[in-house]
Amino acid sequence: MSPVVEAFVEGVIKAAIALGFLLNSFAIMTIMERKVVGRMQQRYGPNRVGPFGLLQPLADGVKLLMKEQIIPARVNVPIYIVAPTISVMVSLMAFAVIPVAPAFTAGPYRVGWWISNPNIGILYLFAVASLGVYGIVLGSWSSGNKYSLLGGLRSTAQIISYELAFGLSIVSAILLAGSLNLPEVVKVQSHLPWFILIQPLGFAIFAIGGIAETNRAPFDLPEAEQELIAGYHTEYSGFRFALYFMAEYINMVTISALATTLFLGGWLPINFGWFPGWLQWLDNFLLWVPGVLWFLAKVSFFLFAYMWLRATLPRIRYDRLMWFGWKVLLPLAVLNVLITALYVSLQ
Amino acid sequence: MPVLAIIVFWISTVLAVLGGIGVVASPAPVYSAVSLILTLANLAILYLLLNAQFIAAAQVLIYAGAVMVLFLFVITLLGVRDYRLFGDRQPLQRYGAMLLGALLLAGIIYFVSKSGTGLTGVHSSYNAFQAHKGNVQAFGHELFNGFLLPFEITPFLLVVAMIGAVALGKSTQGSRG
Repeated sequence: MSPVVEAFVEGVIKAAIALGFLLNSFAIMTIMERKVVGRMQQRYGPNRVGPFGLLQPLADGVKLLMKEQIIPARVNVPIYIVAPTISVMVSLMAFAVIPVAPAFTAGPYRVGWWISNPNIGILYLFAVASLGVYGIVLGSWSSGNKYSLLGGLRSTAQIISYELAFGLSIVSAILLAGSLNLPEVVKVQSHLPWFILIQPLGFAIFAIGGIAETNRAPFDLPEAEQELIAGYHTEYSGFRFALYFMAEYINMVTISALATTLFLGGWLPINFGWFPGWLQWLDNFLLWVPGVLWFLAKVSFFLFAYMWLRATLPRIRYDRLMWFGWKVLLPLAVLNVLITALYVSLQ
Repeated sequence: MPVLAIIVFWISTVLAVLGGIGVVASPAPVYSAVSLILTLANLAILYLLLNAQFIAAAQVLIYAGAVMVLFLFVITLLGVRDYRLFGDRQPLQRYGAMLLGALLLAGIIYFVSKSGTGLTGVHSSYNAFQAHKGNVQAFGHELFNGFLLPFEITPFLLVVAMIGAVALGKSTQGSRG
């Protein structure tokens, strides 16, 4: 086989694996969220379908697929149909550059645990993620419903506002790593401490911005049901609603994976090299655990934190949200980038 | 160019041109905006084929991700009316636009035919392929060494535009914070 065909086949196989992973994680997260939030609110959560309610996602999926797909009368049909697809497509595309584990050698091939590894990995991810807004704007506009439109406008304004601070917090990590290539960022953290330790402020801004970017509680204003019913997806039902839902959860996975890569050392194990001699076995064990598991554990922690926040924090008022984004988060992010740049240039 | 690149080139070129036609031909402003996004995204793919990864990402990030979102924001918020391309309003503008468009096309065809296959858009000294440290490094190096003054003037222009927007947007009846 020629190298081009090989690269093509490799890409298709990896994309299929990543697709399976993302769709399964979506299913698992729906049940996990309901269970976690339920327990935090002194409830059981779903526990009727299958053992411990574990088959609930399957039942939900069948229900959403079998439901009638209503197209309301005042809808702009082509855009109404395309909008949720855009959301899902963009959220799936963004995951392509996430490095899950270091590259390994299989026979004559050198295989990386990522679909693609461009030099500008982080820029690619950021560029693709910035397209996700279209699903929301177009969906809300084409619904022909004023509550949808208001929800969509809020969500767009929120995403645009928080994108700035979010991007700047990424810049501070990139400055330390000296590369836009994501596997490279992880490798740098194997001889520096993880960036969460050097960049606590940058990580905090990243986390807040990431929650706002994914429209999750306490920043889930577009879905403020007291005011806007269900925001931009008010008029969506059945499978199209499921697509929006899926996009939101896959975005959560991607943001968590990005947080892991940039600030928590990606696939690297927790390093206790400074342990006293009699604890050496623990250090050896941590080093022995494969990188994929480390990556999954870190990502799962972030996903759990998302649900934790949802169960804990009340929703922020809209004007406070904008005030916080522009007058607190953005200046802090700029300051953080300036200090980091100064530190890096003086080294 | 490998076969795969040629296939990708044709797909994205055709889509970009279709998007361009869509921008001028669609009656509804939202369709025009969506067509423009299609064109911009496909131009980014063409940049990728030229190995200009940074420009491709910047194209998507700035034009498709920021500028067009604001366009759509305004269109959806204000509810702009539909506009037919060959409606009967402003005939002078229509014929003028056709004339100028024809002139532009003639100019492009003239220069492309004159330069033949030599027209690559890549100056031999700025060959990003050879810059082994990667696209962004080469780009930043050129920006801060060869083009520092224009690079510094551009933000100045943006600040001027921003001050203008604030001045225009400021309420005349006292300040509301």
